[in-house]
Amino acid sequence: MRRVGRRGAMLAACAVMLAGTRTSRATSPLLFGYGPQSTALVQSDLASTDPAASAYTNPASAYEPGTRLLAGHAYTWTSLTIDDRAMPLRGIAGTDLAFQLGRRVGRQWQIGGAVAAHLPDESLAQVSFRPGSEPSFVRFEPSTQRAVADAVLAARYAVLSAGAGVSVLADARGDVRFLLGQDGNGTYADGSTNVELPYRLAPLVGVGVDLGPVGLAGRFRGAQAVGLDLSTRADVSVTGNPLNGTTLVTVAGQSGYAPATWDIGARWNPSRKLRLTGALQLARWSRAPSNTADVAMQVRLGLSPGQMEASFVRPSLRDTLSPRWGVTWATELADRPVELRAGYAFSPSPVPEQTGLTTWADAPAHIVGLGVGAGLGQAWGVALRADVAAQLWMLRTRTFDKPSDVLPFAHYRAGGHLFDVSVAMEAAWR
Amino acid sequence: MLTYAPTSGASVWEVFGFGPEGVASVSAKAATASDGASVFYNPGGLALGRGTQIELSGTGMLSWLETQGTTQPIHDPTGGSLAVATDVPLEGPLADRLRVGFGAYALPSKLMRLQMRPGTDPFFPYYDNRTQRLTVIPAIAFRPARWVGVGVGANVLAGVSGPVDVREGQSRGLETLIQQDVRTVAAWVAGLRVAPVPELDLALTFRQSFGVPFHVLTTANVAGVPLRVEVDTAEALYDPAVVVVAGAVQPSDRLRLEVDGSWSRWSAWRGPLLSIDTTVSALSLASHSPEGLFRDTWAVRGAGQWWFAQSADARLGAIVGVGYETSMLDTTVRQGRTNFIDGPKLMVGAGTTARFPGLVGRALSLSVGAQWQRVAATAQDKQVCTSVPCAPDTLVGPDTDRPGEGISNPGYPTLRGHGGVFVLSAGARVEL
Repeated sequence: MRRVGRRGAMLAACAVMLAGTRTSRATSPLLFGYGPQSTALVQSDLASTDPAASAYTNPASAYEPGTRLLAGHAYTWTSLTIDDRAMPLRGIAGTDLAFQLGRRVGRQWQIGGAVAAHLPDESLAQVSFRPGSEPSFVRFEPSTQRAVADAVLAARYAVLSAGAGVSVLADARGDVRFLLGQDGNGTYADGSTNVELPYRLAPLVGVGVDLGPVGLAGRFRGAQAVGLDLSTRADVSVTGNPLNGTTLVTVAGQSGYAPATWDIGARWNPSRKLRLTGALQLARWSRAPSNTADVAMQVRLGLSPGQMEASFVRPSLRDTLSPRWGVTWATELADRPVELRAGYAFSPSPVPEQTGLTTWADAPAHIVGLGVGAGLGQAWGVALRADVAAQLWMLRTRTFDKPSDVLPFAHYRAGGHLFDVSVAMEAAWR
Repeated sequence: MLTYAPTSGASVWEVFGFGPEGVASVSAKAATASDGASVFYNPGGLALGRGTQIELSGTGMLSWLETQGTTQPIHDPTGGSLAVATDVPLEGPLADRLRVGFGAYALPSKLMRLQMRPGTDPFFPYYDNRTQRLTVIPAIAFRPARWVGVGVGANVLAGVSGPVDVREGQSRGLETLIQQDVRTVAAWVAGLRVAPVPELDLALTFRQSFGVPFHVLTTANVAGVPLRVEVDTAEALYDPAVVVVAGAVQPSDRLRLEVDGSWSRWSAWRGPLLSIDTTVSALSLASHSPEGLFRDTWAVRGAGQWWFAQSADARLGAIVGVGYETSMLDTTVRQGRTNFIDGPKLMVGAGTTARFPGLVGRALSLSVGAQWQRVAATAQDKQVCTSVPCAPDTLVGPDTDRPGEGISNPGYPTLRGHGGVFVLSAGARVEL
């Protein structure tokens, strides 16, 4: 009982500290694209970016002359299963807000800037640590529950354009202390915190070449993760209590990793009405740190051992190479310009075979997108456009067989679907 | 958790002012601001501006606040502000009637710092941990008539709540299940500005109170023993609700005078301390924050701007401001373990502005402003507990039989505090 109580105090300290950590730093746009155009074209639009969404999709397109404001919303229905049982995933939904401003500054030069934000509906971010041995869809659960804030500047000279900016994140470091003490009047509790959030900036770089009917583009988004270095100190000093002493628990690690991505893309307009787009994305999942924080506990309660540490190996995820294709058909409907869009992509799984305690679930996916955009004419001097798109992820059913039956979840199957719908209104001053 | 408060309210501007002109005028700006700073001072004033203004400024603070003979520094004392205001170029009935503004304050190296002190630390809650955070306010304003502007802005906040569960998992090691939600909290800034004649401006501003809610309930179960730790602070990084009534006159093209009166509802604050409620192995303990310590404050601020030199290429102006605010601590309420300090404040500001028409865009303005806030000396004698059970407004030593002996509280026997804060701000504004 005495030992259990001490351990309980340690756990409580650990839990309070972990509550002070933040995670889940990948993004919904990383999976589905930013805005309806990118969603319909399954992110094959690198060389044919909507300028309003350029801060996220390709910074090199932020030079486009004019002023654009985009407001949209995306919602995803999920149907992911493990062993044919539904794995309830928190609703993936959020609002997109983007702004882009570009100007001509000479015969050959154009400059501009853009910002883009994605704000999840339910919360700005979700701190989510699951027990390592429990099944989880590592690509989808943490990846869709945080806000995005990107800002870029761009310039174009002749046929070449380039843009760069940052995606703004924050680390977390500091300490939480609580004291359970006693004075002449009885017991009391006291606490203090000193936690700070230093900036973490992930680089965004894009380049483009516009050769008329043909365009080429490249993009780099830096890896995103949140560094944690937080400690909780619990001091218990109550007369006659077996828990008296100090427990210091430190959690450090990288949480909610979103990989660096290298993209190349191309656009070809074989006719005035038809546009074909393609892209290839390399996602550096192999650089992913352990998705479980290292924990160190220093216990000065007279226990032996007085220090316990737990650290976890890197997850050895695999880099993925994802090809994407899109087609856009421009036409008119009731004298208004209309674009019909479709896309297909294949997304390999970064999750290797599971051989230990972890029970990660994931599978390669076929991705299909459809969408339409229509000009709505002028209102109060502003050109308005509406876009809507849908994207379907079909995960191939994948069977995991761990090498030993005594391991938790030794055999399981993972698969399912995701269905994302995105709508947006765009206002433009030219 | 705390780490998840990506944005917050108007604290730096609330305490010292927005930009060099706000600092110099001790925040007597509600009836004259029509640029990006109006998102904080009065969004209604935004509607009465014209064109596009972009201002970048830097602010630094130096503290001489002193408690118990020790200087209390202001952590992270430097930061930068961005203020943008622009017309929304619409046609038809909305032409020249809609403007948007954006104000932001950022620390140089971090998004924010959240510091909640132990309950016995002597400190000034009015200044402590109110300026160490990102501040973002977007605003929109509408001008229904040439002489009326109404506007609203939003301080977008975030708070955290959710369960934490720790137990031995299938791996036979510690496994944690944490589902913390960082939810958006918005606090409003609303303003009305009326200019019945060109020489007179009247303003009414309301800023909603806000704080960062943080509530984490931790449970654990080890070998059948339940554990529970509840950490709660409903209002970290708190700013009170504020109502400002202001008037400004411009008797000549060279002179403008403004007087602001404000009321801040500090009495609604639950205090700067963490609330902890624990049950660990059948031992239940809870912290008890003192009640009734904070009271509403009244402030009056006045400022004048005088353009003392003028030519075709430049215009030079001086700003002076003076203000007074009552203490947010009710000194008639005796404190026990806590050692909060505050007093009436005298604010004096001065600054200068140089405006160069046509140098960049329509005009480039360079400004510098300084402010000195003096906190009057306060003292409170602590009362010692003589018999158990002790009253909450007394101090007690470690021995139940002799509760008045061995007291180690840093505020004993007398809690004293006084001092001041010097603020310097410099910036550049471009009008397009």
